[in-house]
Amino acid sequence: MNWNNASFVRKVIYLVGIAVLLLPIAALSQPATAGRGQDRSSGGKLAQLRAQYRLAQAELGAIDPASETMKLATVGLRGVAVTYLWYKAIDYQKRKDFTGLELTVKQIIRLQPNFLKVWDFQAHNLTYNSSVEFDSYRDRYAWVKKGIDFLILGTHYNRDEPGMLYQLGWYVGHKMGRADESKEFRRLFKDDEDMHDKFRLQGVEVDEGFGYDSKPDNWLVGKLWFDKAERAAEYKSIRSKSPLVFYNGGPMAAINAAAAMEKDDGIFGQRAKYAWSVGNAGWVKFGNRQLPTYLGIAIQLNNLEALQASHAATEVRLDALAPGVREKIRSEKIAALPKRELELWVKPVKDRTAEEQHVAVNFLGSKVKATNEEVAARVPREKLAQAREIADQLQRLTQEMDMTSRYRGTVNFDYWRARCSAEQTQEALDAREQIHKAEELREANRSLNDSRENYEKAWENWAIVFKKHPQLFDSIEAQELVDAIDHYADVLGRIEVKFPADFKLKELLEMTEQGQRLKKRLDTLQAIAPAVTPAQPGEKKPESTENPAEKTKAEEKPAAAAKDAAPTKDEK
Amino acid sequence: MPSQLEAPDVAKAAPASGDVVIETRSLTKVFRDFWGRPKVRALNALDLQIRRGEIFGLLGPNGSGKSTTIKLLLGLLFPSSGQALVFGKDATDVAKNERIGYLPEESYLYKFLNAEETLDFYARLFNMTPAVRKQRIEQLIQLVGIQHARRRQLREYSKGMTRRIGLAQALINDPELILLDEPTSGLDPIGTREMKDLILKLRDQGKTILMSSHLLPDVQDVCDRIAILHQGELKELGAVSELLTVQDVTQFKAKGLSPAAEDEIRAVIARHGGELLKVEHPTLSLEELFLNIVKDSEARPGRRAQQK
Amino acid sequence: MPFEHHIIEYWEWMLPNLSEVRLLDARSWSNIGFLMGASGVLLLLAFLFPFLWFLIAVIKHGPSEGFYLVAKSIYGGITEDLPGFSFRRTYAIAKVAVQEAIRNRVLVGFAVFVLLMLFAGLFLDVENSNRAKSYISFVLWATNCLVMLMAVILSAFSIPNDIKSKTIYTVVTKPIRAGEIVLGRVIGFSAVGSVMLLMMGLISYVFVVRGLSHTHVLKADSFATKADPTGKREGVTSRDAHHRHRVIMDKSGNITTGETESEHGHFHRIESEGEGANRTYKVGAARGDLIARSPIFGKLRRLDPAGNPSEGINVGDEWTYRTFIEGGNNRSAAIWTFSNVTPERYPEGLPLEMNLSVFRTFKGVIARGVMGEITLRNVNPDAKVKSSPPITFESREYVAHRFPIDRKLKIGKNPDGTDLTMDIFEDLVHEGKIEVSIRCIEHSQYFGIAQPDVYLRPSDSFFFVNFAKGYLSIWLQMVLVTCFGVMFSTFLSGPVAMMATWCAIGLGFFGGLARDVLTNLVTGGGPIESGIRILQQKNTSSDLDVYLPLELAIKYSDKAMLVVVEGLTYILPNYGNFDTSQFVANGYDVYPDLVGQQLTMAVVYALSASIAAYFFLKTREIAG
Repeated sequence: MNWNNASFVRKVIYLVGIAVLLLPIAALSQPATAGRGQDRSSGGKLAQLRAQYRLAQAELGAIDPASETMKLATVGLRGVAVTYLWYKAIDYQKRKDFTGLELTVKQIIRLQPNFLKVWDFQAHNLTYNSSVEFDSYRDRYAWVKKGIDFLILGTHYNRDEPGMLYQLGWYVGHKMGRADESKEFRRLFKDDEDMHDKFRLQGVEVDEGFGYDSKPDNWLVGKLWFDKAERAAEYKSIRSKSPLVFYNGGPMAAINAAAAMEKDDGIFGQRAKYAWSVGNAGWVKFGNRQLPTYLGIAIQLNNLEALQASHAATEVRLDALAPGVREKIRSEKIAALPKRELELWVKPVKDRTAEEQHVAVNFLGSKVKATNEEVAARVPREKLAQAREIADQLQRLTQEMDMTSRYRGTVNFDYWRARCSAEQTQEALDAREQIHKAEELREANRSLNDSRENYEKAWENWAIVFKKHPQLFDSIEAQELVDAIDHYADVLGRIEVKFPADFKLKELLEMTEQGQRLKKRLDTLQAIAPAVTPAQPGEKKPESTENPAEKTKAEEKPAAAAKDAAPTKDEK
Repeated sequence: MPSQLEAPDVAKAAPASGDVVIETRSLTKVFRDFWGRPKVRALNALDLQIRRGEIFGLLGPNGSGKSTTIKLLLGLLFPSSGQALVFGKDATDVAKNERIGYLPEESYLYKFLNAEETLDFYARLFNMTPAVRKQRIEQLIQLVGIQHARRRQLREYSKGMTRRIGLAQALINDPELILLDEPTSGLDPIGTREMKDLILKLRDQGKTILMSSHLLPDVQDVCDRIAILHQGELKELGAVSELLTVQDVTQFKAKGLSPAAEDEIRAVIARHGGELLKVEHPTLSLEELFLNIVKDSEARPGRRAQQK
Repeated sequence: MPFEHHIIEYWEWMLPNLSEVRLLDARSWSNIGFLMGASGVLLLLAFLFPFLWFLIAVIKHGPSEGFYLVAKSIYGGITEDLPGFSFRRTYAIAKVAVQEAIRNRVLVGFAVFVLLMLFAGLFLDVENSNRAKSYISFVLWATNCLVMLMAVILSAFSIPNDIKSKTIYTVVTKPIRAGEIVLGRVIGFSAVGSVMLLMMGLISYVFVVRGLSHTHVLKADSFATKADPTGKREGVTSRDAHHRHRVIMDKSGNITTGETESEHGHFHRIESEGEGANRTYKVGAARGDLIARSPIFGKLRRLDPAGNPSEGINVGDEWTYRTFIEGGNNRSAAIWTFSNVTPERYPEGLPLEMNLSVFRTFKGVIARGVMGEITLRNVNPDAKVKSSPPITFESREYVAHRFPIDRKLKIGKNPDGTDLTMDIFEDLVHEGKIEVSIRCIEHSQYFGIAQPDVYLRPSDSFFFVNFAKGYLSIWLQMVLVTCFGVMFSTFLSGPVAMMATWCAIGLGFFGGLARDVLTNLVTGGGPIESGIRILQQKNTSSDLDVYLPLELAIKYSDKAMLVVVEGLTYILPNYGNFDTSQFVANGYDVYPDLVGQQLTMAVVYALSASIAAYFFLKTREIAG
């Protein structure tokens, strides 16, 4: 040992330095080991942080060797490699080489397993874009399945990621249940044991998602995924997803399950009622959930009515402080209207055109309205502070009401609430069953009279339901009813019965474009007086008097005779 | 096995008979750097003629242009100006290679081949039938004395052995003209002796040999004519004997003379007006001593030196 | 065919089609034919290089001397070296090259390959629905990369190492020509590479076949208890290798086809034994995944709905390889004309196979494919029988749909009740030609076709042979790389020669990109502009935010560089042309014309590179 040799001394110092540095490095980066008892260790600081923030691959043995090897093999050029692979993937998609696309996507996620957008995008790509390129529904189902498998793989690398779990619920629920091939998809899903097993391995108890036939229903299983997502959201952020949409997933899945049960599977009665009640319960729970808004305040969807009542009461309190002020302000404002607007304002309602009416109500109405601030400003001096306070309270309430109603609109809250309760009524249940039976008979072209009876009973039931829940008019379900009415007309045509003049759901026909067309067709055939103003459901229309012979001829082929110039006498 | 371990005879001044084998006319080589600027003028207007059957030595200190000349003659370098002709044709002509052999400074051979494969490879490059080829390979291995290592890869050879195999490849085609670049540098005295004997033998077989060296004693022993180069220029050219013989000094070497005889001779010299320069017992050259001891040692192994 | 494939016959490729060449449209230049194109390029180089050489010689030695030198070298090369060429000497060099390669432990590359194979299971996606394709692609790609790498390293370092260590002195001073040195090395390294390739090929073949082999278990109780409306019952096999097969049992309880349904690109044969409750099924090995179809292609022409010739409709795909014909009650059709249709070749009728694409403008009947019809037509307008009755079929996408057409087609009933038939060969084939017209009969749905999509498939070649052809292509690439490596190594030092060879390979693969950028098919500019865009993180369509003069300077220098690169792409081989892995992986025979084209190209390039290498080595001052 030549201590005088500077080079040697330096080398010794370096070695000692390296050894010293190794100690903190080891402490920091020691991996956690999964095991039992003695073997288990939570590892160094980094591993503990990883576990704490629920980042993946914190334990030895849960590491994916292929992924790690590939990352190493790119020797720091991971970004370049990934870019190249993305180009390849896009190229494969362009050339419709979907097996190549799948391969490349799998390679991409091996290099970037924790990049959530990659999973999101490519799962979507596989499930939506690639699947539709296939003609056979089986192939499409296979590709939807691939997307789902792909996402499940993603959950291994990114545990408890609410967004990903939500997406899984969406694919299992909506992609399968709302596609054009929904009937086939749902059927395939029921029997897809492999997928059920896979789900069970992920902790989704498929058995809890059984439909009426003790086989898993895609909507209910989707709901299980949504539930899992909600549980994950308790301790992990849902990132950039909107909470409203996020928490809407589960309840809607339950509702869709109930609807699908009646529509696709033909199950009615008590079981359907039970399903709807479950949906309703879920919806109520959803309504009671505290949802943060971008304004910073949290709202509850169920609260709107209470808020409105509170608002009205508070307004009364304000007015009590300054009686008469409100009307005074209003008349001042009316007086201050420019001449033309004033003329319009004072015009009686029945003389206004539709456009003028619209302008008067929306534009002028809000113009002449007295705001709470103005009222509060005119409160006598001593009560000013109190009035201000009330005005502020009103302002907050208005804001909250505004957000609540907006959010309600986004998820169509009123409609679904109404629907949940409406569908549970006996009338609705009966009506659905009757239409189903009627359609069945019509398809088989058997017992057309029974078919007609069922239809007519259904119309009566529906009329009752619509009366109680007028919100149901404006929906896709209502549109489908119009289809049923069309089929009803067809059945009538086949058994050569004329379309009833007192058709209960005339209003429904007028609500939709398709219904209007149908109505026109029926009118030209059967000389029902077209309604000028929206009529009350159930109102009787004057019967038309026609030549029975002509009637019979015309009824032979109602569909083809749309342009038929069969002379019919209109009677107003 | 090694040829006679004797003190070398005085090289016979063999007559340079016949045609000119190598000729250089105003041969110049200037090494340029990457940009074309002249870096080193290695050879400057060299005029040389080498005839068939002689051993020609190129002498000079390091960097005088000896190796450059040989490379120019082989076509490994292209002349900057002037000409180099071998067998009357330009040095870059490939056909002449059939008749020449070349031993480079260091034996640059493929290290991953063994002796047999090396010689086989080089032999194949010549126009010989396989039978002749095999025969010559065998002959040469015997000649240079590497039978014991014929299957070993060349990377395991000692310096002397690589020299020998290098020599073997130079002779594989029984060439008319052999160019040797520093043939004896780096060899031990035995090896040097053998090399010199071989060169002489080749000359006796009628071959022409051009060798370059800076080891003066070796050149003196072997060469017929020499050229001395210095900084790329030819400084002296001529037969060894003529150059080296000091004309007006005579040397007698006699055996069995008594001191009286010595005196008588002294008187004779004085009488003829000559100047007696030196009377002494001649010393053996170290080389001779060394060789004698080695020969003795091989004859009687086990004998140790006596402390004197 | 599922991959883009343009069939070019050998003589069509070789000979010029001058009517298609437009001077200003660079993409049409390929119509000039290989013969003229290669000759043109070679002649150009044959004048360019000596000229450059002459210029350099003039600078060094003065005009007359320079000219004399160049002329003498070339003349000498042709008159002396060429006749003096000796295979014996070349063989000697080759032998040493092989020994050098082996003893320098090039087998390390082979060891890497074996290791890679062993780990391949980690990288390969075993759940992929076309495992044959991914396995074959993988082995071909891995072999290709490794062999090229080996070839580059071997060839680029050999001569420079010789020169550096001066072992070349004792070689060039023997009567050996520069050409023999070059060719000897090329042959030697190619031999080593060939042996490696052979071994890799065998191991790959075993890997693929073993990796894909599997079987399933089918039990009698795997069938549904309830039959569907047509009386068929469906069952499933066990789940092996990440998939199951459906099995369809007909009314009588037998599996009519004797096979499982196709899944993941293959099927299995089923043998049944026993009766009733004791019925057992034995599922055979996978078939249909390792195949090599030998299609006989026809010539395609398309008709628009009015019956006029058209190019087809683009339904919105970026990839324009396939165009579409409209379905419905119109004259839109895709008509293939097949030649050499004789009863000897196709004794049982036309073995048609289709790879159609389908585009639905509305979903229609979801559970069923879009319906089409095939009509066989006579090319002779005066024939007695002009066409066959239409044969309807249900289209299947993304599979090669086998649809053999019987020789005898039923067209009605005779008065005595027997069937009235027509014979394809007697009635419809005229001078060995027949037209196959395919239409879509569903309104508002479209069929997508390209010329290689519909073909006759009389018999298949052997997969092993096709696999070997894929390896032949790799072999050709290796030989080319070796030639170019040796060529570069004759005048560059070892590492620089290796870099140059890599660049040549890269240019070969990516040369098309330079051309596309020049013709503005791809936006984003040349090297400097792209560099700036990357650093500034701009995309390809936004403006460069630099001063206008600077921008112009950048654009022009980029253009100059790209022109040089494009020029080089015409000189250097495009290795993409030598890639037949798509054929092998997708199960199509590498047709003989393509093999011929590749061989021709390889020979021309190899010879040119060797000649260039010869001149480079000859004029080089070895000891300088």
